[in-house]
Amino acid sequence: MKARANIVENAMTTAYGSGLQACWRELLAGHSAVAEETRFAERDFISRLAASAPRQTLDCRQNSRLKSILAPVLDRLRPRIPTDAAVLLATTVGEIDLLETEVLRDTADRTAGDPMRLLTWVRERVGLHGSAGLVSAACASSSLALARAAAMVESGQVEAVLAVGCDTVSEFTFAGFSALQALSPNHARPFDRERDGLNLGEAAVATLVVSPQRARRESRQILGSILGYGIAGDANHMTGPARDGEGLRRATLAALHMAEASPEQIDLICAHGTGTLYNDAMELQAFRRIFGSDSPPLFSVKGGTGHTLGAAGLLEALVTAQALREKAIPPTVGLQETMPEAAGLVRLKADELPRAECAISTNSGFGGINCALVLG
Amino acid sequence: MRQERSIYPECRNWRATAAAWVGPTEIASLSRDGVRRLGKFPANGDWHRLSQVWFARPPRYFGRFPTAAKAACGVACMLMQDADPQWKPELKSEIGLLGVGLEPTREVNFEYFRDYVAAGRSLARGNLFVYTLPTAALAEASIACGLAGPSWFMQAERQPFAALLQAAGQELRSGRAQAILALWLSTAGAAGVRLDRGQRDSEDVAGIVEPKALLEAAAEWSEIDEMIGYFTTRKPL
Repeated sequence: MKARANIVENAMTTAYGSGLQACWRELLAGHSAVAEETRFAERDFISRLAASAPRQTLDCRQNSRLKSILAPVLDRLRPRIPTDAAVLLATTVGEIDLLETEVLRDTADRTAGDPMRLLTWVRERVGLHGSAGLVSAACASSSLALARAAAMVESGQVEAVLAVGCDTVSEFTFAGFSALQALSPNHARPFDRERDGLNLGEAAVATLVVSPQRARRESRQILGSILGYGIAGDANHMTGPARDGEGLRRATLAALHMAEASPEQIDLICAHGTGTLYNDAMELQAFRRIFGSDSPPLFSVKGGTGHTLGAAGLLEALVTAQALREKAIPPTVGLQETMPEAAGLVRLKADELPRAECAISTNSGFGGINCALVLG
Repeated sequence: MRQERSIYPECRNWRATAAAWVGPTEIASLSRDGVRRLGKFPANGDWHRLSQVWFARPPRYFGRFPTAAKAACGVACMLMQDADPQWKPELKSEIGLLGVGLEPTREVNFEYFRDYVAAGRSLARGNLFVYTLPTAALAEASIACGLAGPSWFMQAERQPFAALLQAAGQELRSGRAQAILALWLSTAGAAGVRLDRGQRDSEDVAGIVEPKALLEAAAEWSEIDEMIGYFTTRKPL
């Protein structure tokens, strides 16, 4: 299997704190960062739980919550980003708190929180001058960013891409997911018999993706390789996934095809695993159709980190790459009683995978968008 | 009309086989068979008639879609019909759908949150919330037209439509899609081109038989200047 592009740097802030190691350590221990969210205490939402970034990780000089999470992440990475890197920013709603403020003040600035301004801010904060773009594919936005980064690198368009995924826990999204009855009033329990919805989370994640040649030339430590990716749609429903998981199945098969990998070569899966009734069932259908009765073990991070929306794909890809390096699979945080279809696939405790070399990370989003990455 | 040179020069492996637009001046498509005009931009009540022109079975709740989503459905439908008169939306195809244009998202974000605040910040409307994503109009179009290929939204800082075409070219070259519909979305409507795999560089945009007609018609809608600019920097039209 050939590396299409290599992941060589990363930085992140999640509800667990700063850095991938903190996130990995807490996931491995089965701890959840989901807690009572007091910012919306007066609102009448289905849930009061969310996984918000700890106060000590925020740069409170910034004018939006997203920037306050993102600034320290970018600052940590900045010295190691080449100036010719392109930028891909993945977010679902960006600095939405700026728009919230405008609406609450009854002012008419509809451009408040424009993600293109955030994109320019990101590019300038890291000191880059190359091309920059916003990518969006609902909750698959930042796995798409990684896929696009690999495509850009492989086509020779650029040698290096800074991929950034970020979203915050906001009243805007909390109210929306609450209205859609997608939130759990309890701690989310992905792949659990009693799962009843998701918890929202916030995160900012950034990673540098470079061509294999560039990684060699600059003697970069390779943290993971993108071997293949696939993107496919359900063409089915605006908010619900296709029950048979057909879109995710095709996305995953496309990623395997690109990676020149057979299903038997996949050692673990980082699933989207939101904890909603339909998503988790759909994913297991898709995986069963691909892997048959010999499906590799899988896990979801969302019971720990919350559903971080536009940051989820990048966060999960980096955790997956870490799992391959550590030869271990984290438990599915929040899991208590495994749903029958997931029996033998998900873990209550961390486990060793001594021969793990290749993994899949998948995300699915509103509108039936599915993205799968094969990582090595 | 903008004549800026494309900064995305390597879109060489596709040919545009159809173009369509639902815009303030007209609703029309252009293909090998010439220009097909469906009339003037609709007043609110006319969307129902248009949905029946486009679809044997119009999408559910079509009348409630934001304008960009209605227009995206129409543009995608015309691009598919022009490429294949036998096309049926209920038969899903692995055709991709990419989009550019943040204006509709900005508008819906504002309306959704204002509506929520006006309702006392107690209950949001889920049917508005789903349109706050930049991919929402694309999602409606993909459902309406059975487009199950790669789909995403992207907005480059510079020359966003040209960047979108380049991404589409990368998908086609790699064989990850049979064809791609590339859409430009705005609060006033949508415009788009259908890209199919080309065999040689010289086939770029050769599929558009009467590109001048496309340009003249589309030029009246300034929103797609950049798309036009892209075409005009290519080989002689």
